[in-house]
Amino acid sequence: MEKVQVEVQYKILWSKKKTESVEIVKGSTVADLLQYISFKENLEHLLMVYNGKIVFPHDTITENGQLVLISALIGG
Amino acid sequence: MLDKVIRVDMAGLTVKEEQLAEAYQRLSGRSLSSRIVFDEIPPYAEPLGPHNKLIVTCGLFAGSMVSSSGRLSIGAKSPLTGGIKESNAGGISAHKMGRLDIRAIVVEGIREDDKWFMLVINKDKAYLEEAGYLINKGTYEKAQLLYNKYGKKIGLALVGPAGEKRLLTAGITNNDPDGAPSRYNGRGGLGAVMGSKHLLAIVLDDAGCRVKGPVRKEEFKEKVKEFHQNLLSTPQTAEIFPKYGTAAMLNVTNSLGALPTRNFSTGRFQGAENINAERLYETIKSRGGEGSTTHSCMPGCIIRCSNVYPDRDGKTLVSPLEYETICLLGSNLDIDDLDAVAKMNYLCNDYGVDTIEVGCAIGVAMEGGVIPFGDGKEAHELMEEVVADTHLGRIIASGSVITGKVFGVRRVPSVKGQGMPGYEPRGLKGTAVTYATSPMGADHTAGNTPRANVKHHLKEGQVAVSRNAQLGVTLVDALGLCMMVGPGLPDRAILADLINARFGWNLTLEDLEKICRDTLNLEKEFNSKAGFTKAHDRLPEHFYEEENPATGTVFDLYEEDLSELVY
Repeated sequence: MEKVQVEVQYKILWSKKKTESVEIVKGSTVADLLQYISFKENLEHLLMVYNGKIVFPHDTITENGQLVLISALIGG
Repeated sequence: MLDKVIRVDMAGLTVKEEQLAEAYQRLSGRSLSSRIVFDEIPPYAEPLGPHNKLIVTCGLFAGSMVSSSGRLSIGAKSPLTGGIKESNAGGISAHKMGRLDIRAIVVEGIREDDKWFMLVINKDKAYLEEAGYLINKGTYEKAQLLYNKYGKKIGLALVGPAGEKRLLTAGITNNDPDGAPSRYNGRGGLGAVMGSKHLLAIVLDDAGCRVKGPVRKEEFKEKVKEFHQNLLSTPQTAEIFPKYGTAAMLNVTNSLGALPTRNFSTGRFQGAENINAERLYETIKSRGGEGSTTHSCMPGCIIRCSNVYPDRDGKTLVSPLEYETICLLGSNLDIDDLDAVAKMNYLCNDYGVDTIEVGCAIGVAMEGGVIPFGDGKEAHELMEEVVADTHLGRIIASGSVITGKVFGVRRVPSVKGQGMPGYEPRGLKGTAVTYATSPMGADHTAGNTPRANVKHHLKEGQVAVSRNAQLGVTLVDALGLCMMVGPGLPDRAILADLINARFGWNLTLEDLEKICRDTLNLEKEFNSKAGFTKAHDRLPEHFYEEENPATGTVFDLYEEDLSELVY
């Protein structure tokens, strides 16, 4: 099965982890990836951005790239 | 409780105390300021002329122990947009109004002589006092002179030299608990309206005042506890903003491709890591001295998202240094240096101008070739021209649209005459819908959407999320609450519970939501009577035609899409 490389960046301000690189099956969903990396944070308070565009758990990953996990905020 | 109105006529130099009208009993904050604007100001009034009024209001929880409830709303017809305006700010002024039992201050008339005044309100009376000795002084010196005269505990709302000169970027600033006059009702040029009335300051002296207790005391205490517990169990309000402040937004917008960069030409900034929340936090921590990573701008706030930014010697450079300023005077100008941003921020505060509008204007000037992008030293010198009131400085201080016209720049990031805040419209389309449709013009505080469950760079769902955000923020604005409480409100019905316990009323959440819809609709109606049409509910042309390189998208919501947005 064809695989893709994903760099996961943790921009969650309380996270100790900063980045990790993983290889997953092409066509996996974002939810699959989160399960693979044992990510257990509440998604309600997070934004997920893949290659610069926002993604949801059901979106599929079909190319190498970077997933940014970031605290969802409002205000400023 | 909270049922007094102070009415000031600057032409006749009279001050009267009135009872709050029956029709206004349930209104406060934005809902009250906009209602009085609608009821009392002719829509065709010249904003700097005798028929415009300045309306200052606090919220229904002002003076109480409810966290984040001390926003001061100021309304008028805006000289910047030509439409209705409400701009709110933190600080201690609204809290003082609450303690003085005052719901609104209405300032009428203008002066065209050389006499300048301040309005002083204490527990016994409200009166005008000559204030010519304050003219031409920066806001920090003005505040100090007023502390010397009335003591350090007063609340202040005042204008700087920009307001005196009736410049379109002029704001009205309020003091914080430490005495810094740096909490701005910044948007819409309301400082120019105050300046046109020759009113330099409002002094709120609550010495000897006793706040009337809640009608249902125990119930109020219980509800306040629940409200605070919600704030303390939500990551944004409990952990992120108290530690990093609003600058935490920068990683979000930069990741989404929605961080305005180089005059809004793109949404991702190469130098973001030099100006983001972590860098801000580390800089403040490492410099120590007077610096503080967390600070509350109003009494009793448990979010504490403000800060004190020190220089290399630990002396205060500016307080606060916030996301919008870091963006508009930083990434938008291609400047990745927090010290450079902080120094410009201080000049803006002292001169009395809105950092968002000035940041937009400098970005436009950079696009016009006046100074290069990325040059913090030249940007600072341009700000010094603003303060020195040179011709070039006056152009910048007249806002982004005028700067664009003078320098022949067509890419001006503004809607209804007002410069865009720190959210790039092609990368964050829900907020862009708010820019286009809000009666306030381009204003993130009118309905910001980065937390919404949509793909922010795509068209789908953006009208609905903007509508929800506009209604949601109108609710907190209408109660004098800070919009930062939004994520910590799992059930908004608690707001009705708090009001009912304090005032002995029987409002429902539906009642409050109706007040919000009515407020938005009458704001729209005011603008309509002032000459606004659907043609004004648009972004500048280039956002429809040129892609944001960070997202590869244009803004693609048109009149037929936006017409679905009704309150």
